[in-house]
Amino acid sequence: MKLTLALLALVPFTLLSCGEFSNNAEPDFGGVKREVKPSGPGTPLPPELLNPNEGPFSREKMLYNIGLVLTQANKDFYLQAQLLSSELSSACESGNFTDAKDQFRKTMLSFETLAAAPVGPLQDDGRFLLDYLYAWPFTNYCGVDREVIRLADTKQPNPKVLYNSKGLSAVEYLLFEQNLGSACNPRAYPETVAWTQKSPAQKSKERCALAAEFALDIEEKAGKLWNKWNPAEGHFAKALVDGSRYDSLQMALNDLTDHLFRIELVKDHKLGRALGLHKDCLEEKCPDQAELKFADLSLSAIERNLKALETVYHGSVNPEVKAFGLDDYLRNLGRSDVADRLSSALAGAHRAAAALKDESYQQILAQMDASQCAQTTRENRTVPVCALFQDVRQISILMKAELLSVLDLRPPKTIEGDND
Amino acid sequence: MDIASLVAYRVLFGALMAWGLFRFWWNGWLERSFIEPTFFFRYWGFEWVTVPGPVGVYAVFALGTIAALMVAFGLFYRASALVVFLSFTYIELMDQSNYLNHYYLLSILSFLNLFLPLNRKWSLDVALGFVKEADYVPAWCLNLLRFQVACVYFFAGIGKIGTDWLLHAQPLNLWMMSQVDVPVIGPWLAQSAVQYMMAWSGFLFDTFIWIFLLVPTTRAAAYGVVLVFHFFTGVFFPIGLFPYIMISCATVFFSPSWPRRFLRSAPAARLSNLSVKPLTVAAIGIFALVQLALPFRHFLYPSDLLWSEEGMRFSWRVMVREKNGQVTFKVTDRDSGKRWEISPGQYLAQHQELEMSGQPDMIWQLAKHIEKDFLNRGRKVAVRAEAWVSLNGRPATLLLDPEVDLTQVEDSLAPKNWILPGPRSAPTSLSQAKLGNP
Repeated sequence: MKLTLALLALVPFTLLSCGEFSNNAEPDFGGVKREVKPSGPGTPLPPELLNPNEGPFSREKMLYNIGLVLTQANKDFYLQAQLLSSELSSACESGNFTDAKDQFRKTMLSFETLAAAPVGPLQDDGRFLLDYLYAWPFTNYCGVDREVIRLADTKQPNPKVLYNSKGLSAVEYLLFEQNLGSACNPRAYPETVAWTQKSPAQKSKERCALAAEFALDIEEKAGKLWNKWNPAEGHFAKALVDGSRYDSLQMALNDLTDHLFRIELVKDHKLGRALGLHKDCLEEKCPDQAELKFADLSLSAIERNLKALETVYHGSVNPEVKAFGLDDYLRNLGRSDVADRLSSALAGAHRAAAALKDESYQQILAQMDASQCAQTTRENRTVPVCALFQDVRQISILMKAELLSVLDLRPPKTIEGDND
Repeated sequence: MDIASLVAYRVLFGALMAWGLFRFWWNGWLERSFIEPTFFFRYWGFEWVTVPGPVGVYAVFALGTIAALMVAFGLFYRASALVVFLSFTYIELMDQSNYLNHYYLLSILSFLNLFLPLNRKWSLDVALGFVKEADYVPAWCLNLLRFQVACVYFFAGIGKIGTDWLLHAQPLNLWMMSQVDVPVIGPWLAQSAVQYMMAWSGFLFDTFIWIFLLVPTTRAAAYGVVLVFHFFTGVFFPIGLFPYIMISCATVFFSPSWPRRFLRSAPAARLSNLSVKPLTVAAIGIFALVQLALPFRHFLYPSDLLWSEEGMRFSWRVMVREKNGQVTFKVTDRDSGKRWEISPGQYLAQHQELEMSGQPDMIWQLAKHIEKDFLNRGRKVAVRAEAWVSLNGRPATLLLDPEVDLTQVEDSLAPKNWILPGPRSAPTSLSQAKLGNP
């Protein structure tokens, strides 16, 4: 009897310890399998997923549908990145940057859709593609300037450029920064002094050359990203549900929703810093810390982020179209109250951002009375952009307090495995 | 009393402790918890505890792991047990956001180990001649451990007495509805009858299992239930070492000689003098009183325990709430009137923010830290907190009075009148909708 009991006691130990040393070892995968099984076109799609928005709701259909929405966004970004590369190449030859600038705006805004829900390949390998494609707010503009000089001297692309001196934010700087000086301290980098003494035309030409070089790199990385989402290749939408990457649908959902918390970046960095609400801005306001300040595309970028979040939430670009999203999940759980509150908060924030998207954030900030901003609330919308901050904060409240609870979600980087 | 079961406990405790510390390093939690954060929450009365640099953190973990293994093998037992107690308790005190009931249990057990002669049999200390072998120890040694383990179960059980757990099966309902993917049994977990059955059986198990473990005739069956219960809680919930610890600790309820059945070893003749000294009786009495009183201290506070958390720690209320929140610190320059709206993420790691969001004393600590941070940058500020919290799936409501300047509040054990009353509404249960299976 005692021996039987002892052997029985060993069973839970053994079973519970299975996986103990395989989970969480790679934090960037946050609760997903370390060994990724191949998915893609080789394995058939379950019949119920052929038309994921038809029939009764299921989490599998919802995740797959959201995956398809993001697949489309990745495809669009790849196309825009190809066009950017081509436009920049032409611009460097002709010296006319209008079309290239226009294409940059389109490419950047396409990326902002991905950046709002960077689940999966964009985050893999320690956020490799995400950081290399867009390093803001860590862009090193002096590093970009030094690359301009290096390329002009050597005429050879540098494969060792750091992530924060390349990518979309570097291209923005190279294309849109009017001041043709250098962001570097001349005492630390004396080589930049000689460069600043070149003619404006020469400096523009050299900056364009580097921008074209970086655009090629962006195109290549966008291609890699697309390959991972492309239904004919990696088919990441399928990997969300077929067990090849996640141990369960709950883990896939957890990973997806975790990345929706990039909304905090929109609130604190994109809006809060420039508005003077972030702890790192001790001045009245800090317009210098705005995103995409050279292209003055900040508010459009925020509008895209919010639209993307709303799209993932509803499972469709148009909330009126029947498609399975997180709102349907909440309703199927009997929590229409939470679904409605979040729908309303997302719609309100997006409406506010859409009304501002064509305005210049830099001009708004220049004219803004900081004390009025502090008095602005969601109801008393004296300064619209400050009211937008409050709208985004409301989304954050609902997501962090209610969505996390109701869907039993866990941010992956917490100390999973020990929570009593 | 035969020392045999205590020795088995020593081996299990040492091995579990070593494993627990090792997995912190292995899983990257050590860096995430103690090296990457720039701010750490302190326990009341232990504000003086500081976190060492990376080398110090690695050293404390290494020291604790080695000492735990030495405890398991019974080598330099007293010194090793002391190192385990000091290192583990120090680790626990470094950051309040890492508090877990089972870490607290391990700290208490490692403290008790200091006074128990667990190395007097089947140990390297005996083999090397450092201590004299003994087959018997005073009965209080085993009974003290039994008392401690019984406390954990009993208070975990009565902690579940409340409408949320018993009448609404919350937060189990929230947790089970996300487990519908589990093969075979997943769909059953979405059934409310199953959730209520689990809630009530969990309550009954925790409250009474220690009694059935104590009675020889029901012990074997009760331990079988312990194994099944902890296996399932380990599978369904991210509770780490807790199931292993309780499965190991429950062995103290067995007959004191149980390991001898497997080792085919008979105890030597019983020692003559195993009487208990009055000082020992007094110390045990005080310890027991503290352990019995601490979980009940929440009665001294007028607030709802699950909402205000006043009296929550050290009370063995295991997994009784799902609490998530969002906090914004509203900072005002006392001179210029300039305002900031600060997210905790600007100061905290993600796991710290998650823990802090529903715990008023931690929100207060961060508010004081923000005040200090601004003061260091030449600004005198007032700090208020707008904390929206959802308890067991209810709509988010304000946890604290948003008008109170937290820099003007001093921390103490007195009731915190700046905590707003908790929600009165019943939690909404998630329905048994078709959620789909893999």
